[in-house]
Amino acid sequence: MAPATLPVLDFSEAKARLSDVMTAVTQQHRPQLVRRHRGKESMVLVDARDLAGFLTAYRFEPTVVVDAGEFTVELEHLGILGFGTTLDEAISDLVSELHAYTQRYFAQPGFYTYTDRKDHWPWLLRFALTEENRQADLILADMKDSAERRYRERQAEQDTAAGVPAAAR
Amino acid sequence: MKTASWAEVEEFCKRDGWLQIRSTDHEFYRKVLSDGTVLETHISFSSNKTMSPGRFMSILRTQLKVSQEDFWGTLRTGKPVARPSKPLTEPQRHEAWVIQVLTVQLGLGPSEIEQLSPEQAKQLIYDHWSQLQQS
Repeated sequence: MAPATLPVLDFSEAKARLSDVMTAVTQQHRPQLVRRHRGKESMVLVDARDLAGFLTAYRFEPTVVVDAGEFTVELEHLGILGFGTTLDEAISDLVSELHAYTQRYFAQPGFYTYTDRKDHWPWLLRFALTEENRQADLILADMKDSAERRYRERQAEQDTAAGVPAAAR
Repeated sequence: MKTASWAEVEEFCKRDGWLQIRSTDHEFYRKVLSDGTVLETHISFSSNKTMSPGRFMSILRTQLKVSQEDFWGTLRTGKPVARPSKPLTEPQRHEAWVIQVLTVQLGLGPSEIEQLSPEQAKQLIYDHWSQLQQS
């Protein structure tokens, strides 16, 4: 049984008050625990945008193989590849592959969540919670974020090497 | 290095006992190994044109989980690969943000990027950033 630290409703009550429950979850950002069968089954209702925000830690960090004019973009831990003759083309293909994989993953959770692919769930949910026309931007934003982080780290390394005091940076 | 065509990758899947599955509008191949590991691949193109060695290694390593030797062995003998396969060859790969900076900020093309090791590529970027700071 899930702990009752969150607001709890029995299934029948939640069903009867669904409009109020949804308002509280989406507008007041209050997670709502719903139980049935005396707590043997429980689910949590969370605002979709809140959830997408909480999943930002599950970043997409692709690697790229460039060979003979071909770009191959890899999300190795998800087993996904994208192909193209430019980086943009390969990322676009990667997004298309990721889209297809996410669809079949959540269409067959009874299969995937009992395999070594169980841990793909948060990455794919983050991707699924992103509007379809923004999914490529999600990957590109994670890449940009990696570059900016490395830029800041590099600056800090150089400042340290030059003896610049931390307070002056 | 001998590389494969997409047609040969598809033939490998058939001989190695992968299942062809149609899901929504996407067709792909799946193999579930005896330890429960799920492998999936999508034959992106139906072509007899061979792909680059780097792309071939990436497919072998990321999706087929098979060495080059075992890949060609299965195509030759028709027998499924005995996994775990022999050590897989690692293609030279860069973090994607590195390629993005090299192409967008430094204007490098694929033939120039191919000549760079991951360390050289990053150093080029660091040098570029240093120049930007100084200017």
